Amino acid sequence: MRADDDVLAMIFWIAVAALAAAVTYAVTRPLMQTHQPLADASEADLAVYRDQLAEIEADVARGVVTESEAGSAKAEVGRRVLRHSGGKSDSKAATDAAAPGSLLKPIYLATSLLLPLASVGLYLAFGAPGLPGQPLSERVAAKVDGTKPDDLIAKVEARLRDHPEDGKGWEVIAPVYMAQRRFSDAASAYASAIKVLGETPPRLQGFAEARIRAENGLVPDDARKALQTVLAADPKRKEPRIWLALAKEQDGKAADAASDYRALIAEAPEDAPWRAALQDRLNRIENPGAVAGNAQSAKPNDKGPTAANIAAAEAMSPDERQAMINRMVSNLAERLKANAKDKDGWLKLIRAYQMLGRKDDAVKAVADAKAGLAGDTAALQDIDDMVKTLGVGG
Amino acid sequence: MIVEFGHFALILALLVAAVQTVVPLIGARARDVRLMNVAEPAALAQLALLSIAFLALMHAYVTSDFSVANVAANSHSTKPMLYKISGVWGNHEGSMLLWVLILALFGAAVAAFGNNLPATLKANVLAVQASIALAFLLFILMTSDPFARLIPAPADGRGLNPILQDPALAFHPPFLYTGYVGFSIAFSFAIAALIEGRIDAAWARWVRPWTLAAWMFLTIGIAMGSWWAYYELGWGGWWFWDPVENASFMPWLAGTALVHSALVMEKREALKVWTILLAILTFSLSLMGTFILRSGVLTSVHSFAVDPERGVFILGILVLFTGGGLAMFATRAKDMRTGGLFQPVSREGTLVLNNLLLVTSAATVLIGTLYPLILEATTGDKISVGPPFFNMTFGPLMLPLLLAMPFGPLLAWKRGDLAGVAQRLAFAIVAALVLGVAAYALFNRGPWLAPFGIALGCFVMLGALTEWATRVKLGAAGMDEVVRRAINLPRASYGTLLAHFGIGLMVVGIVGTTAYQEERILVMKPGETVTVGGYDATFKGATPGRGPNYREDIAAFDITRNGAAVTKLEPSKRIYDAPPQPTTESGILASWRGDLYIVIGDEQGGSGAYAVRAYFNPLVRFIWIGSLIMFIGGGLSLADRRLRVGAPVKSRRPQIIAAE
Repeated sequence: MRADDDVLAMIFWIAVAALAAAVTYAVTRPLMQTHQPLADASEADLAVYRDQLAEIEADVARGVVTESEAGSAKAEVGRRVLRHSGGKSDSKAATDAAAPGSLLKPIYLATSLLLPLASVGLYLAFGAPGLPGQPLSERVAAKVDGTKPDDLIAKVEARLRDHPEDGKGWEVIAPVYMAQRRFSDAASAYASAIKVLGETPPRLQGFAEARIRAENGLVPDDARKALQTVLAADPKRKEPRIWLALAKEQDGKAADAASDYRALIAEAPEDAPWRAALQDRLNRIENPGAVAGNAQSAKPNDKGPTAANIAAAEAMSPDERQAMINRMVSNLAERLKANAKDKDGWLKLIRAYQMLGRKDDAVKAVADAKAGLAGDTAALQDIDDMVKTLGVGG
Repeated sequence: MIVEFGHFALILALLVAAVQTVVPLIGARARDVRLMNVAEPAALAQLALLSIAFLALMHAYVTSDFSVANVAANSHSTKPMLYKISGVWGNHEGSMLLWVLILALFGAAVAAFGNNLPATLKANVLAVQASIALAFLLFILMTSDPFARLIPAPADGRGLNPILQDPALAFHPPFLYTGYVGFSIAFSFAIAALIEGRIDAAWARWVRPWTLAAWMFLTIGIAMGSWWAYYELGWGGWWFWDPVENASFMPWLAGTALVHSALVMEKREALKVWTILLAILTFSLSLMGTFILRSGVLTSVHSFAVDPERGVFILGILVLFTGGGLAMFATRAKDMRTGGLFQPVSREGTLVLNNLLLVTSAATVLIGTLYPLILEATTGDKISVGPPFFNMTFGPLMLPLLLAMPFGPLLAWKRGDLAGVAQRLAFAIVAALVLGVAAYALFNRGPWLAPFGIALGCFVMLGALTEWATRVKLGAAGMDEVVRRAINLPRASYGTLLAHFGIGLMVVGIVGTTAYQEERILVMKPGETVTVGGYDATFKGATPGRGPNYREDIAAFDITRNGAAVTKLEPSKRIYDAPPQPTTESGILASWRGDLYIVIGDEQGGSGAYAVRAYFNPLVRFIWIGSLIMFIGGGLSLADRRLRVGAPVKSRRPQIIAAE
C-alpha cells in the first residue's frame, strides 16, 4: 500500500513537471527566434480594402447589387485607400528601429523561471499534493469503517432506497436521524416504518417528536393527530400529553394548557426530569413577563429525550448538547450495571455507543449484554441482530 | 491524482495569463514581433490548461469523488449521470471555471484564426483578453477554489438543488456563458483600439462575427432559461422580469445594438467611436450580470454581506474593467478619426435609431434591476420593481423599434427613399392590419391594445418577407430569375430575414399569451372537470410514485375537446431525496393554438382533493420558436463567406495581388 502511494506520487510529480516544462517551452519559444521587422499596419488595412473591393465585384457577378450601387460602394472604398496612402507618412514605422531586443533577455529569463517555479510554489500553497482521488466506487468496495456512523447510515440508506418495503430498516434508521438532528428525515423514516409495519404507540410518538422538532418546536397537525392516536391506545404515556399541552399553548389556549401542565406536574414523580420544564412553562403562562427559570436545570434521564430535554437542547450550544448526550448515555450504562436483565436498555446503549463513534465501548457493551442476558435466547438473538445491522466491531 | 493535476493546471493557467497580459503589451509598445508572438502560444496553452482543469473536475463529479469539497457539496451518488455532468457548472465554483474556460476558448480562437490581423492589434487584443482571464482566475483561486479537498470524505454528497435537475436548465448555462463571455472579444478589441489610438480597417470585420456569435448563444441561452421557467416553476408565465433574467437580458439588448452598429462601421466606416463605447458597455453589462448572479447580492444585500469576500472581489473586477475601459475611452476617444456623415433617412439612420432605442431600453432594465438593490443598501427599505414598471417603460420603447424595423433593411445606404420604401411595405402594412382585426374578431376580448400588438408582430414578419421579395424581384421578374436570385442572395441577407422574422413571431406570441391567457385556480375532487381554453380537463385522482431520486404524487387528467378525447396530462409534485425539496412538474398539452398548462398544488383535507391551477396560454409556443429562428438567422449570417475570418481570406490574397 505504501509503495503504491509512492509510485503514484512519483507519476504525479513527473506529470506536473512535464506539463510545466511543455507550457514554458511553448510560451517562450517565440522569444528565441530571430528578430523580424514588423509588417506595416497600413498594409493590413489595404488588404482589407482589397477584400472589400473583391466582395463588391462578387456581389455584382451574382446579381445581388446593381451596377450603380456597386459603383458608389467601390468609389467609397477607393477613397479610403487614397486617404490611407496619404496618411502613410505619419505611421509609426519610424519607431520600428527603437532598440529591438533590449528587453528580450530579461523577459525571456523572467518568463521561463516564473512559469515553472511560481506554478509549483502556488500549487504547494493551495493544493493537496499527493492526495489521491477517492471515487465512490473504490470507497464502497473498501470495507465499511464501523466506527464511522456516516458510512453505516449511507449503507442503510442505500439498502432502503432499493428496498423501501424494509420496515425494520426504517425503524432502525429513524432514531439515528433523530440523534443526528436530521428531523425531517427522521419523520419520513418513521412514516415509512408505520406504512410498512403498522401503527404502534412508539412509532407514532417517534414520528410526532420528529415532526415537532423539524418544525422547531411547533406542533404541526399531523403530529397532533399521531399523538392523539397514541394517547387513545396507551393513556398511561406522559409524552403525548406533554406535547399536546404544548400544542394548546401554541394555539393560544393558555388556560387549557396551564391546567394540563398542572395535572401533569401533580402526577409527576418527584424526580421526573420534565417536571421543572413544565413548571417553568406554567410559570410563564401565569406570570407573563416574569423571567423564566432555567430549563437546563432539568435532570437528564435515561428514557430518551422528552419535551423538556428538547426544549433545553434547543437553547444549547453544540458542546453543551454533546455533554447532555454523554450524560444520558452514562446514566443508562450505570442503570444497566444495576439491572443487567434489561434487554431494551442494552440495545439502546449499544446503538448509542456505535452512533457516537465509541467503537470499543460498543463492543464491550455487547459482551456485557450477552453476559447479563445469558439464558434468554430471544434476547440474545435480538442483540446479535443489532450487532449485524450496525456492524458493531466490524 | 487527477483532481490534483487539474488543480495544478488551473494554477499554471493563472501564470500563463499573467505572462500573456504583460509580454505582448510590452511587445506592442516596443514593436518587437518576438514579444508580441508570445500571445499566440500563451492563449492556446491557456485553453489546454483550463480544459485539463475542467475535465478533471468533471471526472471528480462523474466518479462521485466526495473528497473534493465542491463535489460533496453539490453532487450525490444517486443522481442520474446527466446531472452529475451538469452538476459541474451547477454551482458557484464550477460555473466560474466554465466561465474562464469559455474565455480561454475565445482567446485561443483569436490566436488561431487571427492570421490576417495587424500584429500589434492582435497582440493588444490577446493581452486584454488575458487580463480578464487573469482577474477571474485570481478570483477563483482566492475565493472559490473548485479543487479544495475534504478529508475525510463524507459518505455521500449533499445533492444538487432539485429544481435544477432538468435538461433545459442543465444545459442552458454553457449557452448563456458563451454569450456573456463572447462579448469579451468585442471588449478586448475596443480596448486594443484605444491602446493603439487608431482603429484598423480589419477592426469591424473582426468584431462583428464574434459579437454575432456571442449574441446567438445569448439568445438561445435566454430562451432556454425562459422555457425552463415556464414549465418548471409552475407559474404559467414565461418571463418574470426577475433580476436573474434581467442580468442576461441587458447584455442581450446592448449586444443587439452592437451587432447593428458594427455593421455600419464595417460598411461605412461611421459610428466608430460609438461602436467602441458600445463594446465596452456590452461587456460591462455581462460582467454586471456575472456580479449579480455570483455575489449573492440578488437574494438580498444582506446575503452579500454574509460572503463579502466573493462579492467584493467581483465588484472589484467589475469596477476595474468597466471603470478602466470607460476612463480609457474618455481620454483616448477624442483622438480617433470619426467616420463619414450620412442623412437621417438612410440605412445608417435607422440603425442609429435602433441603437438609441436598444441602449435606452437596456438602461431602463438596468435602473429597474439596480434601483431596489441600491435603495436597500442605502436605506434598508425593501421595494420590488415588478412587471408593471417594465411594461410601462420597456413596452413604449419597443414600439417605435418594431415599427422602424422593416424599414431599415429596405432603405439604401447613405440616403434612402422613405416614400418608396413605404410603398413597398404597403402590402405588409395592410395585411398586418387585417390580421390584427382578425385577432380581435377571434378572441373578442382582452385589452384594446392587443390586436394592435398582433398587427405589429405581423408587420415585422411581413416586412422581413417584403425585403426578401424585393431583393429577389418577386413578381417583377420571371420565375427562373427569382430562383436564381434567391439562391445567390448572400447568407447574411437570409440571416437578417430570419432574425427579424423571429422577432415578429415572438411579438405575436408575447402579445397573444399576455393578453389572452385564461386562468382557473380551484380545488378539484377526483371526477370533477374544469373547462379552460376550449378543453375539458377531468381530474382522475392522484397516485404516489417513485423516481430514481425522488418521490412524487402524480395527478391524472383526461383532456377532451368538444367531447372527443385528446390526451392525458400527468402533472406531478415531487419531493427529492437529497436535499428534500418539493418541485412541481407541470402537465402541458402544446399545440399551435396555444398550450393547456396544468399544475397541482397540495392535497386539501385528505379527501383526495387537490388544489389545481389550469391555464390556457394562446400562441405561447411562438415565443420560443421565434428565438430559435433568431438563433438560426445568426448562424446563417455567421456562415456567410464574406464574414468568415482567418485562413480563407489569406489564401485569396495572392490571387488579388497577382491580378493587379
